[in-house]
Amino acid sequence: MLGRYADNLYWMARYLERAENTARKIQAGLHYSITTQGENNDLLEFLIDEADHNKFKKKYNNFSINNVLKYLINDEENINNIKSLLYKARTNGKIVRTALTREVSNSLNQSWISTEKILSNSIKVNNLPEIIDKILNTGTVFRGSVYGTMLRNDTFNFIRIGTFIERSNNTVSILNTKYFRILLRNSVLVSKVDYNRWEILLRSLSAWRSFNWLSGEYLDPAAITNFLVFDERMPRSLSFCNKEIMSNLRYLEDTYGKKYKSYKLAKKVHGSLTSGIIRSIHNKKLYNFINEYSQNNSKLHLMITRDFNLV
Amino acid sequence: MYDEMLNKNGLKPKKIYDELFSWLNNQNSSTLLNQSNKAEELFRRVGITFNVYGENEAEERLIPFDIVPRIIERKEWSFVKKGIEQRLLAINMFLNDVYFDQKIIKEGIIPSELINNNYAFKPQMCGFKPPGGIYVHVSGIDLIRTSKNSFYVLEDNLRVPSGASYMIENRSTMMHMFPELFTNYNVKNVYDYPDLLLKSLIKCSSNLSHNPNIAVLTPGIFNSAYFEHSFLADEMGVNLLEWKDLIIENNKVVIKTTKGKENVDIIYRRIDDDFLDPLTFNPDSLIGSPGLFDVYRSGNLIIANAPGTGIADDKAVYSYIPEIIKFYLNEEPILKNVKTWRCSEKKSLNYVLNNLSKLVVKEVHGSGGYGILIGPTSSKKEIKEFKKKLLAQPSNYIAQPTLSLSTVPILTKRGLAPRHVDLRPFALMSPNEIHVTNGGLTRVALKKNSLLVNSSQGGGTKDTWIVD
Repeated sequence: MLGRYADNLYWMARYLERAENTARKIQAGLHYSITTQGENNDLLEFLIDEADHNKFKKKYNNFSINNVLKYLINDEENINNIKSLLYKARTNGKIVRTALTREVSNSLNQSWISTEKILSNSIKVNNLPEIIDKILNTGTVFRGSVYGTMLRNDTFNFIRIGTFIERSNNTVSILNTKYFRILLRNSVLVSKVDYNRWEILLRSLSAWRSFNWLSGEYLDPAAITNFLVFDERMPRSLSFCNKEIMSNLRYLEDTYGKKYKSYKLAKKVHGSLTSGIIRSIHNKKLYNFINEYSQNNSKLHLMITRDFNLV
Repeated sequence: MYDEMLNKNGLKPKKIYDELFSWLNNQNSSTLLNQSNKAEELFRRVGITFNVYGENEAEERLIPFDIVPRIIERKEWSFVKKGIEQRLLAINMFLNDVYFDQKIIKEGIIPSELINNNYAFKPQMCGFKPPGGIYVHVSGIDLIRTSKNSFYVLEDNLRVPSGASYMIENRSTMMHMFPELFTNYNVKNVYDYPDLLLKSLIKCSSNLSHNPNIAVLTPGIFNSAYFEHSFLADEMGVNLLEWKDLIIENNKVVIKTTKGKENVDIIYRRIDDDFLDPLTFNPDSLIGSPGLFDVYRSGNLIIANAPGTGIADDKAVYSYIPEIIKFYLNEEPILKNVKTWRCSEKKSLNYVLNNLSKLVVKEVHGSGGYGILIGPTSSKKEIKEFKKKLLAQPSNYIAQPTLSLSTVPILTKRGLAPRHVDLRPFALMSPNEIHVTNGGLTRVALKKNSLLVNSSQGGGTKDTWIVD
């Protein structure tokens, strides 16, 4: 496969996953702001990447729900706004149309056609559920058609790798937020406010129900951390993402008959994820672990780019 | 005016249209209109769109699709096919001649300056025989019909003609929406086109010792025909490349794949000559692959179509095609040529200037319906302005009579209504063989009385059936 194609496939999947992750965060935030009726609106801050806070503050007075929505959905100053992510995913898909099944390229096209107009207008809280549903649906139909219609070859591998590099990036950046770190420090007693924070965090990873299902109503910070990092059953945990990345790289090694640095690194990360459960979340170990994982994920991206001639 | 579906009185259909006509009459008109909208939705979902030059890059348009098929009898079609084969054979010989001995000039059939001073003539091709001796691998000859037995060639598109993908997608759409129609007619297949294209390209590479690596070369996703480029690459199962993917190494064309480097042997390019290789063709070009032409000349690469074919579809050279056929094949042309006045000739220019309101005037190198004057439908002011351009550079123009293009009905909100059509069959040429598609792309002017069928000028398309 042309290296440029692999690049387009990889980024198509990443952009779409990123759009979906943002939509999930918005959904969680919306749920939160409705149920708490304006208390602790500072938590909306959580929806904006820490790295973007300064940029956001320059343009907007406060983290009101409308400002946050505008910024995340269609503010052109935010290069990662949902609208442009969907556009970029589709453009990448259009370039590699020949490598995709009709179902997959239709899913990208269809989502763009059905969301372009609403995403171009100013976003009202009232039509937000519809927008979010459409975006989440796009991701689901896209992955479903990839999984259900595509040949298991290198095309498939690059799409899947893109999806899971982006997804683990998202999970690790949520684990790495200021909020998360504060929550962990104060975690002995779970107050009502903290409870809400945990909820928004889990909801943004679509993990609220599954966590409750597994552990009952008790929101133990250590249990949450273990769940998001180590639980292989949870499709947004670091462990799950890493396993997917590793198996797809492994498949590429086998088909191309070569050894790759990226696979070696993914395997090393895998080792760190199976070595044990974190019992105490107060120690520095977790912080270091998250940091290291985050760095490795970036390294992995670069290695994949080099190993397979992505542009 | 000749209507292909209805008899002169406009009431009864011609025999071949009988069943379609009664089927159409039995349909509820709102259901049909509904289906027609559905077809549009289908095209948009699949992404069969084109970009219009000069408009916003993100702007994507559909080529409107009309659901009433056009039917041509197989008997009539074999006649057209023969005509196309004859024409292409002669054109390929002509190209070989102008890039080698120029016998046709030496014998006084065509004036030297028309060839040697022509922008489309590429001296870099002189003395070089393309692999297999084929120049025009793919062509899309535009035909018009004026009566039952009169087909005229309007243009020989020998550079990078578009439309084959629409021919196929139109058929898929019709079969998807009206499967029952196909049980009444034995419609000849058009789906084999990509496969035949692939095979005919491979046939030109018999000098290679290995299976050739083939690729389609596109200017990129913002090109108006990008859908077609990706469609053909996909159907043929080959890479779709952009010029920046091409690396010239050790006199070979190389691409970087996820596995490592790979050689490319055959390029079906959908890029104009000028953008192939800035070192050879157009030093001002910011795109292209420096050194590509050297690889080509050393025999390590096949480029389809060969560079320099434009000299044979120049609209002034077009007027010589009947002579070209006689000169190389010693045969009478099967398909007619439209009478053409070359404005470079004084006598013709005078005639054209005195009759502008009756004629169609075109730029010699124009395409896509741009830069055309259609006398009978133009205002006095438009004619006056065009006259200025014409006088400034007469040799840049030719003129033709306005022909009465045949009509085929389209579905409108008020029912069926006749509209003018043309037809672009596609022909594939390889050593010892010319393949002409069963039918081709019918383009239809959607506006009443309009003669402009180009998609860039608001034209639409129809499915075209060749039936027994």
